[in-house]
Amino acid sequence: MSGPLVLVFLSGLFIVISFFIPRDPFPKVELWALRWYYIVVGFALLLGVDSLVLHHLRRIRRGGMQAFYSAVLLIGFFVTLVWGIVAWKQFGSPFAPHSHFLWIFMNVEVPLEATMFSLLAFFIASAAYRAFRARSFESTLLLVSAGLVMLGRVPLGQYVAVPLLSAFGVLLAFELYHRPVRTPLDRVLYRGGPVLVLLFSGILVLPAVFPQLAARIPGVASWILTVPQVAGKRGIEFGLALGGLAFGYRILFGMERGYLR
Amino acid sequence: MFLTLGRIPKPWIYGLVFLAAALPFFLKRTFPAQITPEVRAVYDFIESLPEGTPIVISTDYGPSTIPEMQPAFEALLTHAFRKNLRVMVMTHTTYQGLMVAQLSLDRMAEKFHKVYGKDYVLWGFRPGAAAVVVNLGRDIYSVFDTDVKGTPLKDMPVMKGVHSLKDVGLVISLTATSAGDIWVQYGQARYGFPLALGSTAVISPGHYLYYTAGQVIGLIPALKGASEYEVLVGNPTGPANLGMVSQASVHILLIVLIFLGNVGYLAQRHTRKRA
Repeated sequence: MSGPLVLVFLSGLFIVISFFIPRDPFPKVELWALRWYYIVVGFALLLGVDSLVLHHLRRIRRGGMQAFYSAVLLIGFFVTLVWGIVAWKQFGSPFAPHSHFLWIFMNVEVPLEATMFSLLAFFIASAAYRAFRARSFESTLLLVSAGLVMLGRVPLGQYVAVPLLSAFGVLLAFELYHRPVRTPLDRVLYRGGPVLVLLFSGILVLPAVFPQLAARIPGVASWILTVPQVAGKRGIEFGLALGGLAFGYRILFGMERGYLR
Repeated sequence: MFLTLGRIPKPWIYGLVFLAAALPFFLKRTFPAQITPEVRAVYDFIESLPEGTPIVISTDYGPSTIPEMQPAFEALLTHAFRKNLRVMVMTHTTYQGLMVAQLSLDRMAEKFHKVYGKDYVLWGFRPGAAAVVVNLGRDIYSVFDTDVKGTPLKDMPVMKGVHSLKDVGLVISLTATSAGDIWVQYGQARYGFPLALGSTAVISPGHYLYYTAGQVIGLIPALKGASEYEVLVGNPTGPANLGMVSQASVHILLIVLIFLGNVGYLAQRHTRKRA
């Protein structure tokens, strides 16, 4: 067990040192180590192929509808492999320009992947319709910001954004008005100022300043992307980086051994 | 009546999304995109590069994102070829990036009468993501000794004076993967070369971090960014601008659907309370 741990410690430590001391011999040895990385990646790919083929052969042996799908996958895999080897022989690389291997790419892979990815639009639309509800202040804030970014980043979106904001304002005013009043503060909130402001802005102010407001929507969308979005994201990234650092430290010193299993 | 607004059947939603996405392509109408500072920054930077400056474009995306990414790649090639820059194309996170590059590279080069090996080159694909970027910063030939056709890179006139990424005028990563982060963290931060990022809509919000911090010179975020770049290079009716109309109609439909869903939700809540 200690052999791989020592190897990981030494290679990890070496890469860290070479990052901070960019003087010979470190860069040269780092280059050599990174070449070894490509070799390891290549073997990892072979392991993946082995695992994929064995898994689907087992499914074919079990039979049923799943066996059919596995057979299609294996046929596709081996046809692509043989085709690639033939193209390699003829053109020096299967990916060389004018290689007939590109036919598979253009006529099988591109339409298949494009179809899979396009389906997302339908699922996202359906999911957004069902899940995007103004249930709380936070969800309402998210909904309004998402709406502004979605409409502010597309042509003509700004002209739709203002009437929709008006409609959301009126909707929110009605929602607040129908909330039960239990305390004096509830009375102020649900029967007073905020409701009136939402109604007033929804019915009168927004439509009145429509052209001026519409012109500002793309700017507002850009601001959301570059200020509050970046602030939140940066916090997450700091957290991730610190987590990554701690994880790297644990691997380097043999505290994390999951990769040995 | 309001209750039914919260229960629109899925097939109806799918049908509406299909119509909203497909119809604009038949209308063939475009609306010029408003230029944002992040896209203009990339354009202005390329515009400021002297003739013959080498630039590297890394196409780190696959077929699933061709409609979103390819227009940006073609607009960048248009700009670079028009400016007589030396274009070097590579990929390091997905082998598919090599093939998507080939879909446009030769065609665009032919349009601008550019010669392979003299004005542009396709380095090819090397796996290794971060390791590739680290090595390119030191020595390009240690990663790509030959181009995609197997010709030694050192023998090509297009590579004259180019030994590492420090010798290129600009690196642009067009990505649908984490390649943008890799380029910033292992490339730009370490070697300090000018870097621009283009990405899909899912990834681009994360790239604003690097833009606002000054680590990248500009961004081409998603189809919107590509449509702006098309306008900047004088092609306001290009594929990105055509696609943006479709995207706009789907976005508007989505917001309307969300509004209707909320009306239905509130109506349902009030009905429950009364019951």
